Amino acid sequence: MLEKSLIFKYLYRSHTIIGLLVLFLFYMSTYFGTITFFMPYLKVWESPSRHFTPQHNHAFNIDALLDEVLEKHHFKGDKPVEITLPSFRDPLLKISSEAQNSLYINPVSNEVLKVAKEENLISTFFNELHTGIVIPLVGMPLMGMMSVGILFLTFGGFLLYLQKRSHRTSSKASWRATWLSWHKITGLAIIPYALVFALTGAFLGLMLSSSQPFAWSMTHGTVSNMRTLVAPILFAQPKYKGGETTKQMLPFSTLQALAQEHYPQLSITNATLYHYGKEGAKVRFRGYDKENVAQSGRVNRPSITLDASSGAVVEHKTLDKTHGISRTLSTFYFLHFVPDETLGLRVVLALFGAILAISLASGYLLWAEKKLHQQGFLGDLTNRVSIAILIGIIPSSALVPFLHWFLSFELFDKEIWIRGAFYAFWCFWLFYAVFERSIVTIICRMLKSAAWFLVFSVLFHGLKSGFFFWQSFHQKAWILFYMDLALILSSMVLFYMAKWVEKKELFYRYERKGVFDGY
Amino acid sequence: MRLWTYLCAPKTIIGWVHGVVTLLGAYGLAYLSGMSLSLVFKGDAAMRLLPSMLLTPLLVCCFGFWLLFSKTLLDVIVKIALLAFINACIIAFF
Amino acid sequence: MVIKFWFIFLLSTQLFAHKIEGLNLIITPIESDTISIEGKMKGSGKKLEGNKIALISMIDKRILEEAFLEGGKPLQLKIPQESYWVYLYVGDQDVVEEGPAPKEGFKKIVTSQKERAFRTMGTLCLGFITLFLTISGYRIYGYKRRKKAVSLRF
Repeated sequence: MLEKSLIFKYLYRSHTIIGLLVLFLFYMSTYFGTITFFMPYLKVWESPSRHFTPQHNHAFNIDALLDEVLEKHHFKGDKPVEITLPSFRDPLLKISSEAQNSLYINPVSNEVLKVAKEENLISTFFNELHTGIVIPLVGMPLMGMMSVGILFLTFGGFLLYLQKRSHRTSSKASWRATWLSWHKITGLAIIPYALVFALTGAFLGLMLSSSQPFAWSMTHGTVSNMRTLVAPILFAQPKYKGGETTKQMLPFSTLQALAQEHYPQLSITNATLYHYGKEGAKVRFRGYDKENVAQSGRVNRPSITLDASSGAVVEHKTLDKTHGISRTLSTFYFLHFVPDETLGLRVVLALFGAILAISLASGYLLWAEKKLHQQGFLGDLTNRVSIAILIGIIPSSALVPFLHWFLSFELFDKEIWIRGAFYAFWCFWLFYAVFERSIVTIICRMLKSAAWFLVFSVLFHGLKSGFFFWQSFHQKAWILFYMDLALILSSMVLFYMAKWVEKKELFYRYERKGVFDGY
Repeated sequence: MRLWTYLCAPKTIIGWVHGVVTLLGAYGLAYLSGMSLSLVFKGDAAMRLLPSMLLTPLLVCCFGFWLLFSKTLLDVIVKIALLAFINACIIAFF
Repeated sequence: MVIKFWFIFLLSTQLFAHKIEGLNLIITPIESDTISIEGKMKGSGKKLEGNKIALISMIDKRILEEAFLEGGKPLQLKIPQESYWVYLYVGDQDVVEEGPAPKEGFKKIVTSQKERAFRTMGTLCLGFITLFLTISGYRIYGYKRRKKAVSLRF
């Protein structure tokens, strides 16, 4: 086999090269991924239709309304109708069916709302940036490949750490040593987090769209679409026949109470109506198992089906009756999406995400330190481009919530204006990073503009929605209040960081040793 | 002849060729292994497809490391050819 | 139902809003100032049915007409007298096209806003990227010239 010194050399060089290749895209994914941990709360904050005080446990009563709503909006028929009950993810009640536009009902006032698609702009956009789907065609698989790269880096980095311990190199107090210790400590801290999210991310991004070879080989060359093979087994939907005669249905709340009685562990999130109003109508209540949240995620919901006119139990699908692979898949998805978990776990994971971002950045700075002592303009150019990409993303993403509340909701193509503005602003920072000579000024301007945009977004949110944070506090609309608070705190942190950057000698080094001086 | 000496020369550092061949080889071998795993597992379609899909990213890393630690370029090519051959045999056989 | 899950993975709008991958909204003008509207899946050619169609005025955004797609025959609606959009609603998203004008032209017109946002923002981005390339090129050139001048002095 190879000698120890060669092993170390190979590991080190491959870690550096793969690190640089993967860095920029994956940093993007980490940044927006950390934001999307708070997506349910962001969704409520950005939608005017969700600006009301939810009642305790989203208590609602659509008994009197259901029949009339289904009739009026063409939901009665042979297709199953899906009702999504209000939850922390979305305080509105949603009624939907295949190939039809969804209906939203305010559970407090029972009014049927017209919800514009433009409402969920920010969260959808940030999620798409996270998965990489904004890059046409190859975006998501590319992000998946970056995740595989991170897996390689995590394993390789750990092996390097084990090797280094036996080396005991000279401990010079240099910037290189500082970055190395930052990179090592943050890297070690996030090993479990990185492994879990990179592996699940690689599965979701790369494997789901490139499963053709496996399907092809398994069926000996006949079928290459994985979904047609797997969906009937894992996602089989029950088919119920409906009668012709109309029949009186039990009130929805009664059915829900009965279902809860028969299956107390189930935390009901959805209800599906089959042939509602007719003979043989059934209602299927789905949700997650309170004692086993991971295995009963969105791809593997246990359910209980009742007959809609008598309330008798038709089918009782508990968690142990589900397919083993569904449970594994559900756990997998749970690790990545944490769907039914609320604030506590999300904050912890977001902190880990921030540490991962720091690990990536310190890795880059380690490489930049080496380049700083070399001849040539490439080091300075890459530093400026990196600043534009890694730090420039902060003001560009702060622009998005500001524009969302600043521009009118009536604006056609508002989505394109805002996405375009994001990209244009980012390109502006790319230009500014080579135009402005002083690196410290560049970073300070970026952080300060981001802070101002966040403050203005809170201001315009209050102006346009009528829910300033003191009002949401008074009316106990907690999600809105905490979101506004979080944005204000973030902008204060950004202001503080801008001040801190100005004082640190570290950043001035990049200017003095840089080559982009003189005009 | 010159190609042969180039391939057999022991590498002190990873160059472009070694790196690119390792990357492509790792992905290719991982997918091939996934394909043969799908054939070897028993059960219904979900039980055969999903485990191999879950394992493939890890396999890319494993093969990546294995191919990385090769002294010469020839070693890398031999390793890739060997495993590709084994996988092809499994796929053809089952 | 299998199609529903496939749909969820497929529905993604990227740089073009009000468009859905794999779905076509087909509007054909026919005689006597009427249009025939259909929704079709790109791959399979399957026709959509049960979806809501709305004709919305480009001038003040009010709903001019609403109807539902029926299976079998395409929906036929009268062309309004003012610039309008045709909205096809699918689940939580929509496909929007500018509706064709009647034979005599519109009584009230709004200039086509098609992809105005995309063009403006795209130009801005390209502009900044060009500026970036120019300035970095200029700086590198300046650096190389200074380096050459320094080395020539020795």
